Amino acid sequence: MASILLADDISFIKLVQKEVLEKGGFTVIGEASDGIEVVEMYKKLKPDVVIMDITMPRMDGLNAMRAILRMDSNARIIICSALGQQQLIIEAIKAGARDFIVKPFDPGRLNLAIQKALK
Amino acid sequence: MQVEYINPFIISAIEIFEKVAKIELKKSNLTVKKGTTPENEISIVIGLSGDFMGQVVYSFKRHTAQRVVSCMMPNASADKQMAYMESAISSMANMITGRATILLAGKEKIIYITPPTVAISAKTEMKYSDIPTLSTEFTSRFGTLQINVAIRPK
Repeated sequence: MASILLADDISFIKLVQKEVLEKGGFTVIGEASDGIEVVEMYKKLKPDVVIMDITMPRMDGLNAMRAILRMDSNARIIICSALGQQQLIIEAIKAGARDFIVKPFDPGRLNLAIQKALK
Repeated sequence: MQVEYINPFIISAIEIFEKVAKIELKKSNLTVKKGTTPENEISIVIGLSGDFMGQVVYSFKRHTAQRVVSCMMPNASADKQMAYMESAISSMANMITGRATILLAGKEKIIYITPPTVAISAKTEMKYSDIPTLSTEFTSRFGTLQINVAIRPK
């Protein structure tokens, strides 16, 4: 069963993501609320996949993703953000995101993105 | 502030409320205000930076916010809905602002937004910008929502 680390400053979003992922057969092993926390949790937990927002306090999701990829170039990170602007999607994918999901997300889209990242 | 800058927020609010809470919003009023002081007890403030700058303030009456949250979490207990009220309303404001920035940014611009800040009290005084504010009100079956937009291109 794949392990997932969630990173979003809005607890309601993590609650919804967790419900969707657990129904999809994944295990949520950690929840971070900002970019610095997700980098620290990644080091400790080594999850199979990280689902991460862009807009977060202390360190944004794009910089947190770069920091994680510097530690582990094989890290599988999926961005899940309300900011679906074309330039930001391009920037995130160029920086190493495996996928980009725009909020509000469909449950099936989230599960599919994880399955694709795990292949 | 140009009227065209508020249209993405109007379109996005209607779309996101329908998708996330199954609530139909109807635009009822558009006014120009000097300040952005919201009219209701619960306000969510989100800042914009990058190719646009300024702030957006979403304002709800408490009972409206509670009912919106009950539609966003229809299977949750009343206690859980209360526990997540501020967070759920913040996520709504975040998604509306995010969707609006897609429309504002087009293919070339980049607009960043701040994490939402929640302020709870009646008539919260907010002074943060000299940009004129366009305020729009929406009606719904649960009461009104006000969106105050004070933004301009960088």
